[in-house]
Amino acid sequence: MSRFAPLAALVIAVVIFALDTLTTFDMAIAVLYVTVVLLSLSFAAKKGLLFIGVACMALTLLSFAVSHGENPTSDSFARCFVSLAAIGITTLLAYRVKTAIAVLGESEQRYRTIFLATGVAILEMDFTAVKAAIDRLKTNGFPDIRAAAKANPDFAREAIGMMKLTNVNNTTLTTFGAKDLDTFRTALPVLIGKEMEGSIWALLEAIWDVRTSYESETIMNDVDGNRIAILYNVAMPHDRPTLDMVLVSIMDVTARHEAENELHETHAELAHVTRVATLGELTVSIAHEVNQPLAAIVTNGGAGLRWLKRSEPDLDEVETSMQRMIADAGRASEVIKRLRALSSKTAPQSVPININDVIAETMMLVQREVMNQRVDLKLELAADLPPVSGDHIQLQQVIINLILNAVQAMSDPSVKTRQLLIQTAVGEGVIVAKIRDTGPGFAAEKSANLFDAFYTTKSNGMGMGLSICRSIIAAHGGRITANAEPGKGASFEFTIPFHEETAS
Amino acid sequence: MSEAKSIAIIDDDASVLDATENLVRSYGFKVRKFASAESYLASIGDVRIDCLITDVQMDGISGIELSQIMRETGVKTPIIFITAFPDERIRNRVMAAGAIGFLGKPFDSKSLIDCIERALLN
Repeated sequence: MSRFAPLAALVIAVVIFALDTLTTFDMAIAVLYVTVVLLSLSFAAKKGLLFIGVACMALTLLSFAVSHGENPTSDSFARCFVSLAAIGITTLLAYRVKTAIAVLGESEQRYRTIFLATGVAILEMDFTAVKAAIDRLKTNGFPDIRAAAKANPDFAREAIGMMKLTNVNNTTLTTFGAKDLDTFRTALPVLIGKEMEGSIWALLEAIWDVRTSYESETIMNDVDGNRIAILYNVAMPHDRPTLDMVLVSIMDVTARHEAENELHETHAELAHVTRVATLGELTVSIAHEVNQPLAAIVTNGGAGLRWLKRSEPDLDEVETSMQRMIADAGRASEVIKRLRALSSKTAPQSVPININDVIAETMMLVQREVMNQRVDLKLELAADLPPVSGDHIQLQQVIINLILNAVQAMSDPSVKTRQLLIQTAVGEGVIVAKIRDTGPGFAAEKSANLFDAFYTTKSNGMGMGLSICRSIIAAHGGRITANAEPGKGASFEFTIPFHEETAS
Repeated sequence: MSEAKSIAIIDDDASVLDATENLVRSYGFKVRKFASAESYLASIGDVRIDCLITDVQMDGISGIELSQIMRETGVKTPIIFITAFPDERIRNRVMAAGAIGFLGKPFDSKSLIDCIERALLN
């Protein structure tokens, strides 16, 4: 249509000029030039607009000169003046509109450029349906998102379905490996995997609380099913209360995460090596301390025999040899005694402890391993667990050990289902804690050896973990047992007695 | 029978030193005890020593260093090493340097006496 606009404007201008010049109506026909000016808004630039305005005014004056040139009346003067004023004012206004449109266009263009070219994936989304669903929940009397989640655990999934995608930038497509917008739009509910659901719940809470932005780190999938670690921000501007225009920006932090994980693994390996080295040093020095008196005993024994077997046995020397053997044996057992005293130097504490708290703290420490191995964690903690008396650090060691064992058992790629269940319960005068994995498990005949020191099934293991666990649990008056169904997983269970008086 | 041979023993662990001395003496040798390589070096030339038994790891001069010093100063006393840390590399080194024996603690009485007899034959 705009292609014909210049032609239309020209035709109108000619018609008006003809009417204005050749007819003698008692009216200001030239006022109609404003239609030419307004039409030119759609095709002329700012300068062109001014030119057309001035040209229209010139035509008006020309018509006036032609038709009223010899004897202009005051009426025709007034009509000409009104026409010029109307054209002038319209041109001025059109000029200002044009300027405003140009500024707007520039800012729109700038936004488009940023949107398309930035290294951050940006999604324009419409959350109207989500917002409406949340408002309905509020009307239905749910006090907060938690209560709503309890009533309908699938709400997060449903909400994902309600999020409408308007547009995405190129970075989004490359980040997620999608061919085009439609591919991405179709795949989006799958790209938001189970691992991201927790984050979606938090986002829904942000919408519930009418916050203007939400930010979180989580894991998404790309179109090919690879996991991507992302940092994402959802901007929900206050001036769009229906959330019809929500901007989601996503940064791929997979590489950064991998570097962090490598660092973390190196740290863990270093700690392990240091432990082994420390134990190695300790072993060498203990071996030496015990070996010296042993050597003396053997040598004195040899000497004693020799004194006896001489043609004239020297019984005094035999006696001396035997006394020295006794003294050397005493020295060896002294070393062992000192060693025992050393290991019990840090006396374990005895304070009331809720195992649930210890588990919660431990989860923070092992969260990264659990997440990295894509383990589905389930906690079933008894609400009324009585406190036990014991050493916090030691019990934490036991739980860390059991959880890391479970996670490592499931780290083999052949393990498809990776579930870690941590349960606590109250038994007969004891609290019971159970850690169950879905790893390969172990053969039943091995369950007796599992807790022996230096018994390990891991290539880089020391075989000390479970042995230490058993010592710690035993020191707390409890028992630790292992059960396995080969191929289905292993479970470790420990009990610690509680005293009724501390329970109440 | 000729005059008893004289054997020197160096060990910084008193009970091992006493035990070794007891064993060697029970075979009819004359024994001189030293608690360090330094005190042994200081005594060289005082008495004739036919064979030296020395610990490898000692505070101050070690058994290996002692044997090097003796070789450099032309003292040709045969040496038997005993050590709490029998290491193949050290064994190869000292045997190559002409040691008579290299025994790990605790050692068998017979093997020490065999070593001494071999040393005295040379």
